[in-house]
Amino acid sequence: MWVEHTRIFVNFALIKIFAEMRYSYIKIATAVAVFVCYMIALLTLQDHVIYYQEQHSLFLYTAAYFHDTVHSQGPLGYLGAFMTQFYYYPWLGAFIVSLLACAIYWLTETIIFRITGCRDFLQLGVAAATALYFTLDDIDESPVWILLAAFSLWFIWMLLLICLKPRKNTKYNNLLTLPQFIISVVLAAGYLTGGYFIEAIHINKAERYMIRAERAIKQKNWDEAIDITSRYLATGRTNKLMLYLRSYALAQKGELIDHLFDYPQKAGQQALAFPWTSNSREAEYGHLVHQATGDINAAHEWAFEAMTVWGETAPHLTNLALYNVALGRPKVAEKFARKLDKSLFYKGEAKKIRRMIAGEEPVEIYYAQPDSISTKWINVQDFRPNLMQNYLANPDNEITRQYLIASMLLGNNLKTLIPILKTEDLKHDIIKEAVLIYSLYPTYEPLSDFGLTVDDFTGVKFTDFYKMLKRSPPEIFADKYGKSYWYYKHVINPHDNQ
Amino acid sequence: MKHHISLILAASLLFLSCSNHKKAEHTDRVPEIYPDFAGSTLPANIAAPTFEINEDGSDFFTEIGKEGEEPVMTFSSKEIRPDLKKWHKLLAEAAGKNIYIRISVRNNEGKWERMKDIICPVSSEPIDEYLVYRLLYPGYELWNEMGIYQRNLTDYQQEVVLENLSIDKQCVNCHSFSKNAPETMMIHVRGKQGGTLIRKDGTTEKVDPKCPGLENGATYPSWHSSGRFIAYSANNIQQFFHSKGTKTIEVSDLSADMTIYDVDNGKAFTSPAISGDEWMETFPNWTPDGKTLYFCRSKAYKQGDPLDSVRYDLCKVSFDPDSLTIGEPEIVLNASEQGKSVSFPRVSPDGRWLLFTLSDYGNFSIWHPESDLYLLDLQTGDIRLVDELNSDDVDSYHSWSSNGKWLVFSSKRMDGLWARPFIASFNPETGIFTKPFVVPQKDPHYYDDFMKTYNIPELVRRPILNTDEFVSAVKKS
Repeated sequence: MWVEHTRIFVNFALIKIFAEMRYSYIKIATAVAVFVCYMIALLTLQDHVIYYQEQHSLFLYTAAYFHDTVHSQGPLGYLGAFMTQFYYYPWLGAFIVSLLACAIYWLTETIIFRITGCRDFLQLGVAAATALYFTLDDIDESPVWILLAAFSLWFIWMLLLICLKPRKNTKYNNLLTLPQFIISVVLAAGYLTGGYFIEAIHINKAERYMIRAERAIKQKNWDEAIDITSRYLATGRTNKLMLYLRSYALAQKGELIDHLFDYPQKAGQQALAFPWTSNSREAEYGHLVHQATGDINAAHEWAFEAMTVWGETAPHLTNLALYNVALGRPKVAEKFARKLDKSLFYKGEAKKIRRMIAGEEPVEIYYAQPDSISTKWINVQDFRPNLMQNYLANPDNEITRQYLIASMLLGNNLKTLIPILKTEDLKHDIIKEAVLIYSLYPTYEPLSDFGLTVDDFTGVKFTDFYKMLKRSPPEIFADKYGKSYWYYKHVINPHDNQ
Repeated sequence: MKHHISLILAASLLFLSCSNHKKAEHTDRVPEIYPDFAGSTLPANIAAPTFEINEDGSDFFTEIGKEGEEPVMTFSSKEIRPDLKKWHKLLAEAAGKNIYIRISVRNNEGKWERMKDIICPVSSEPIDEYLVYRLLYPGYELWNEMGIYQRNLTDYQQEVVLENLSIDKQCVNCHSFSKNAPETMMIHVRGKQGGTLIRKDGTTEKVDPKCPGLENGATYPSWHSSGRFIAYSANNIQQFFHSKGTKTIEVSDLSADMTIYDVDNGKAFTSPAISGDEWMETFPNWTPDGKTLYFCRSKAYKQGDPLDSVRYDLCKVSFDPDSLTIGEPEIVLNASEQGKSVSFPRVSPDGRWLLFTLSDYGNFSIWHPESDLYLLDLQTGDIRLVDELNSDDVDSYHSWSSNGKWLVFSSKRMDGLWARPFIASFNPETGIFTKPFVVPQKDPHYYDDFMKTYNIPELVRRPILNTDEFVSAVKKS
């Protein structure tokens, strides 16, 4: 009896609540689900895409920008750039894209209903919105497809409104049967969760690591940058850019020497500062080290090359403006500021640069005093000569010093390294190891001339390392000595000067 | 009724504003305008130079007209953009005479001041209607988007000649014309489909004008007046970066020779007079009679030589187009002896004048703020610094108009980094130029916003037609 009553009640409830529910409620619920899923995916899986695209596009409110963009990228490129500017605030960008995804779902469903007179219980609108999500994968492609899809559907809908009369029995068709309702819910959930997991599996993780590391660097979040690059390098992959960004973050924290050999430095000193190889990707980041070590002419060169390849984007314009203020070229700096001023979100940067030009605000970059540097030319293949000059001109610059020591270690230039070491540098194991190696060269000046010594423990350790090196393949003792200078010098060293 | 009241009010306001400015006090001060072309001689066919009045004030009133006559255009704004139709009518009537620009400013105290008229002579000599240039970022080694464009100087229209977007972003450079004629011209393309595009006698072909036996490919060109030959330098160019100071880059030859390409036969030849290990020869330029070839020459660069010790003299060789004989080189100006270096010699169409750039060292003067233009009188041998053209910043690449009455040259005087094309009139009798003015744009602040540099501005008499043939020629293997 009780069971029978329950069955009647459940049937009644299902019929009343679901089967006879106006479809519009289901539609609203589905649209909200699409919106929420998009927001979550964009702000978690694809936060790096949003960041990257915003940093590589600068929408300007000028006729010239309109003309040039439409000429080179077409009207869609212009629209894409317009949308991308809102990525300045990732949540705002995600919000707009999610709204468009909702619109795609909504319009698809409405169009299907208009044409067939039946509700879309197969949730093709959700499928369309989910499929379009994958077009956001390409970091170099602005969110133009989703915008185009939304506009196209809107256009079709308007056409249908004009050309096709609505079905008469809309009240009946506004209802879903229970099986239809269940199918509808299952499919919508399937599309959305399936899409999320497919994306999570197929997303270019290396790219995501790199962009997130770069973002952390730009935000001066050194710990996060070190964490991201460490996680990447811990997978055993080697990437010059990741090593570069990691070294940069470590140097900013004053920990470069402590952690220089935490991961195999397979690119040697080239991962500290890129030699010029006309590589457009490296051009984008090459300025960082030169800026940090006070080599503003070199930083300017790299930043200008980056702007040439990647366009007039906010980071490049800002960097170039700062460098030109530092170099004493206010008219050039003003020109970059003027560009930023024509954007929606970088007016503040422009004002700041103008205050720097006017001398009302200090230039927030370190510039090695030009008069104290005797080197006339930048060595674009090897930054050490300029680095040494900068160091000699400004020995107190800790970042320059760390880079100098690291570059000498990675380049195995012990003869140049030893004279610049201080006794407190011997607190680092890798410095002790390098000093010991130096002491083994009978023709070099004695360590005592530089006030340096080798402790017994390091000597014993080296004996052990040397035995292992002679007897075992390097993988065997990588756990024990993989982070030592000796291991780098004898096993990893790519510079052919062991 | 309401309509009538509005009209009466508007008319009263107009009358009041006019009467106010007409009662303005006269001052002797010439107003500052931007871009500045006050006093410049204008070609009768040039597009209207738009400008902004760089004076403090709440209201402005500008009148433009032929000297001694009533104004034909008036403006009540700070930014002046004359109507092109009216402008051309004015210049046509004022050719050989002067136009005035009369500016009145209502100062902060509410008083109108009429400033001294800006007087611009209008030359009856027209300038070649088109200016061809390359636009690219003033970067160093990498490039992305660049192109060669032609600008109609009588209006503001710019058209594409060859953009690298159409040819997989390869590098396009060194456009050159024979006697300012777009029917006989060339463009280099560097990249996977690289070569030299030569247009002559109605056909456009891709060729390789490299001279056998020379290490480097054809680089800087100069068309022979007959249209049969192109003299090329063949350079190994490297870039170097200054580690300090405002000068950022040095572009230098590590080796260079010269060669002559016979367009009709498709063969290049050279002579020990213009090639070899002892010297570096570059920037060839023919005289209009085609019998003399001017060029720049420096001692060969040796590994370890300081770059600021590389200096070029102005030299010449004779050439016989019939026997293809190249004479012995002669030094025309021993600039290196004076611690200077010559680049871009360009002989005027009448063959009397040679304009060149002089800098402290090297030959890539566009990166040398000290570079200035000098004029050599080939009749008397006199050389003078052309003060009327030069500025405190870079004044470098230049080309003559077909009638020799106008000059266009690159200058970085506006901001120090981006080269802009400036025009100046020239009197071939006296060898005097007038004050240069920047090529007019529709927006007076165009150059403030534009981030690309104008490279190799060359005047041509007519527009370059059938530009799609260049793309087809590049794509032909």
